[in-house]
Amino acid sequence: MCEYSQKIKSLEGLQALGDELDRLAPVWGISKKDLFEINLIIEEVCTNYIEHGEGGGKNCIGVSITLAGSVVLITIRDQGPRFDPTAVADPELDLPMEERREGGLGLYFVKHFADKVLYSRQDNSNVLTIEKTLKG
Amino acid sequence: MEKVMDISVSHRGETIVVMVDGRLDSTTSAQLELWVEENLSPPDADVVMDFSRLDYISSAGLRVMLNLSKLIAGHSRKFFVAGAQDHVREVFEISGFDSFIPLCDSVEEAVSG
Repeated sequence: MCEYSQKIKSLEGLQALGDELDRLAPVWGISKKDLFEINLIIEEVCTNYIEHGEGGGKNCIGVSITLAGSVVLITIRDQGPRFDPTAVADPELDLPMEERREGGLGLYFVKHFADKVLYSRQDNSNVLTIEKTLKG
Repeated sequence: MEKVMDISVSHRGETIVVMVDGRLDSTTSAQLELWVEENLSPPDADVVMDFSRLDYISSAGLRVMLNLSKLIAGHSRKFFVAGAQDHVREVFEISGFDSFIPLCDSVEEAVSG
């Protein structure tokens, strides 16, 4: 089993986490495509907490990644106000360009690329647990 | 920081080709947004985004693509994305953006199309 965790406070911290994942992926045997999807999931969840919550200001967002066999478990813990990303409605994907609005796509990507996304509120923190089976 | 984004521009006939090299994410998308504001407002030609060297795109990057697409259409010009790697192309497809931004295999295909 492989495990990595890091606390981030800002978008720059997110970039440093991405750099570290790039370094770890070949060591852990994660393919380029799986790595892309993992990075995307983490970025979209964290930017939502940084931009829409209070996370990333005085509080840290804790990200931990565990690989067991071919399953990656990503846990993201944010100390901001209650926010359940799984409850956010999917964007309307078939609207014409003129009617498309910014936003909503990020969390849709998380749901699309993950196998399971579970939200819970624990100790005044938002905890999102994301399970993803590697496709290789 | 290891990951950055570079923007370079060339012209194929009347068409502006914008090469984005690296990552288009929540930290770099503002850089492209600013570049568009400084260089393509208003767009005076058709525009092809050459994504052959784009390794990563997130919803922040797609937001820039949506706004750029609207800007270009508003000036009756054409907008294409060319050479995107499979995982980048997939993000455009699952977003439904491929219904209004043509995804071409190469810059040549976009320019001739």
